[in-house]
Amino acid sequence: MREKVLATCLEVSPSIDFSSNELVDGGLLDSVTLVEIVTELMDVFDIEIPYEEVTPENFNSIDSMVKLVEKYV
Amino acid sequence: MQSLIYKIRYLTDGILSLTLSYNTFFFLIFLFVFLCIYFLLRKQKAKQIWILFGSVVFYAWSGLAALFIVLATGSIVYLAARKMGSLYVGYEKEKEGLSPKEQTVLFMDYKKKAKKYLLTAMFLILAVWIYVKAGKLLELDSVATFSEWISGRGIIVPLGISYYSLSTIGYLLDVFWRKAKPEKNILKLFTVMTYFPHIVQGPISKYDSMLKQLSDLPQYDYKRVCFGLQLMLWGYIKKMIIADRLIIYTQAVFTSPEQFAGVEIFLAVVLCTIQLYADFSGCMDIVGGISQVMGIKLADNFRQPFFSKSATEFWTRWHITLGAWTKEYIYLPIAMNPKFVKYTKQLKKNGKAWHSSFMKAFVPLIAVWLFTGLWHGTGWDYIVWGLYWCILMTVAKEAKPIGDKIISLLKINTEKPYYQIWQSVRTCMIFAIGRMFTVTGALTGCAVLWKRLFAEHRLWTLFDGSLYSHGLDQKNFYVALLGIVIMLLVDIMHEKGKSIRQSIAAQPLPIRWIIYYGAMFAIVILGMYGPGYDASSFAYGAF
Repeated sequence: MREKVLATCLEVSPSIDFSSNELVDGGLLDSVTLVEIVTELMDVFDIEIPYEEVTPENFNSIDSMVKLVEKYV
Repeated sequence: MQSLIYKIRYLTDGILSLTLSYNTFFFLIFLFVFLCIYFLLRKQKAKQIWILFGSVVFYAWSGLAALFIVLATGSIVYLAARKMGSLYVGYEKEKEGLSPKEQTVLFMDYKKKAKKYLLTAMFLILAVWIYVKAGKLLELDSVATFSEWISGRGIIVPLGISYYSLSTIGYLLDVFWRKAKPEKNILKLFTVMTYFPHIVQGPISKYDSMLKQLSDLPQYDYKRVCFGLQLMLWGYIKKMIIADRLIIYTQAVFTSPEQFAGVEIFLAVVLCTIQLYADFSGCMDIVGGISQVMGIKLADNFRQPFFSKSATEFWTRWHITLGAWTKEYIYLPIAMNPKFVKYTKQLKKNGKAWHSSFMKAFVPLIAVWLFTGLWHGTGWDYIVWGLYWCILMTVAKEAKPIGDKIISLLKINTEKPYYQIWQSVRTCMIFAIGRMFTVTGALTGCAVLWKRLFAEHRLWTLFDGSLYSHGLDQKNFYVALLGIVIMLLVDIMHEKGKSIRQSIAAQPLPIRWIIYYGAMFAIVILGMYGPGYDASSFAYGAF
C-alpha cells in the first residue's frame, strides 16, 4: 500500500521530496498539487475521499496518506 | 425643566445624526473613548463584553433593524453549529471499539444528519443576502426601520452583509467538516461577528482564529499601541490624501465618458485603479491598526498586489481573504468532488486528455469567478468581469507551455529586472482593463470608454491646463501624485521585506515625533473634506 501511495505522489510531482513529515505545513505541497494528489489517490484506489479529510494532518507525510487511504479502501 | 428636556433632546438628536464611519471625526472620538475604557478593564471577560458593547453601538448606528437581522443571523449560526457539534460528540462516543472502516461508515450517517442543520442555516443566511442583492439590482431604496420595510418603502440593508455572510458560512462549513469546534458562548460568537473593525468591509475573518484571539486578549503594550496607531495613520493618508483626491477626477470622467477621450480616459483608468487600491488597502490599514492597538491580529488583505507577476498571483495578493475564502469553500470542494473527479478521469480514459485537463481547470474557476463577480455586484458588468478573470486564468494555465517555449526561443532571461518589471506592468494593465467593465456601472459605459479611448488622443490636455478643469486642480493633482510616489516607495520597501514601522521606531524620539506630527498634519491639511466630501463612502463599504 505504502509503495503504491508513494508512486502515485511521485507520478503527480516527481520533484517533491516525499520523505518529509511536513509536506503541507512545510509548504512542499501547494493547493494545486494537493488537489492532483487527492484526485489521483481517488482514481488509483477507486475510493472517495471526503473534502473534510483533506487536512494538513492527513497529507503531511506518506504514512498519514496511507492511513487515510486505508480508511476508505 | 421643559427647556432642559428640549436641550437634551436636541443634543441627542444631533449626536444620532452624526455618521459613524471610519473616516469621520466622530468615529475617532468614539474610538478614543472605546480604547480608553478597553485598556482600563483588566479582566478578559470585561474586555470581551466591552468589545461586544462597542461593536453593537457601532452597528446600531446604521439602524436598529439591521442590528436585529445581524443578531438573528448570529443566533441561527450559533444554534446550527452547536447542533452539529453535539451530533459529532455523539459520533465520538459511538465510534469507540469500531474498526476504521466501520467508523467511516458511521461517520457518514452522522454527517448526513449534520448536513440538515448546515443547509438550513446556509439557506437562511443566503436568503437574506440574495434578497438584499436583488433589492439593490432593482434599485430599491434602503430603509432603516421594519415599519418602512413592511410598508414597502424599500429594503433593509444590514451593514457589511456580504462580509459577515461569507464569514458565517465559512464558520458553519468548518464546523460541518470538523475543522473548527462550535463556540459554546453565544456572546463570544456575537462579538466576533459584529466586531466593528471588520464588519463593514472585511477582512473576511475566520471566526475560529478570531474566537481564539478573543479568549486571550493582551494587556496594554506601548510598542504595539504605537505600531497600531502608525498603521491607522498610514491608512488615513492613503484614503484621505490619495483616494479621495483621485476620485474627483475619475468620477468626472466615468459619469460622462462621452465628453472625454484618449489620454483623459487612459489617465482616468490608471488613476481609478490606484484610487481603488489606496481606498481599500487604506481602510484595511485603518481597521488593522485599530485591531493591533487592541491586541487582535486581523488577516492580511493586501500584499503589494501590483508587484504580482501573473493574474493568478495577483489574486493571492489583492483582497486576499476573499480569494482564500473562494478557494477553501468553492474551488477546492469542487475540484476534489468525487463525482467531478470521476467525470474528468473518464474523459481522460476516452482519449480526451486536453478536454479533461480543461474541465479540471475551468469548472472550479468559473464557479469561483461567477461567485466573485456576483458578490461584487448583481449587474451584467460584474458577471462579465468575473468571466474575464476566469478566461484569463484558464488561458494562462493552459497556454503556459506555449509561453515557456516562446520565452526559450527568444532567449528571454526571466530573472532579469526588465522582465520582472514587464510582468508587473502587465498585471496592472490586466487589472485596469478588468476595472473598465464595472467602473461606469454598466457594460454600455465600458463600450463608450473603449470607443472614446481611441477616438482622439487629446495629448494637449496634459499641457494646456484643461486636465485640471474637471474638479481636481493642478495643485491637488500634484499632491495626489506625490502621495502615489510615497505609496509606491512604501510598497517597494515592503516588497523587499523591510518594516517601515520598525525603522521609524529605531529613530531618536524627536525624529519619530516629527514623522508622526508630519503625518497627522498632512491628513488634517491635505485630507479631502470639500463640499462634495462624503465621509461614509469607502469603495468596498458598498458590498
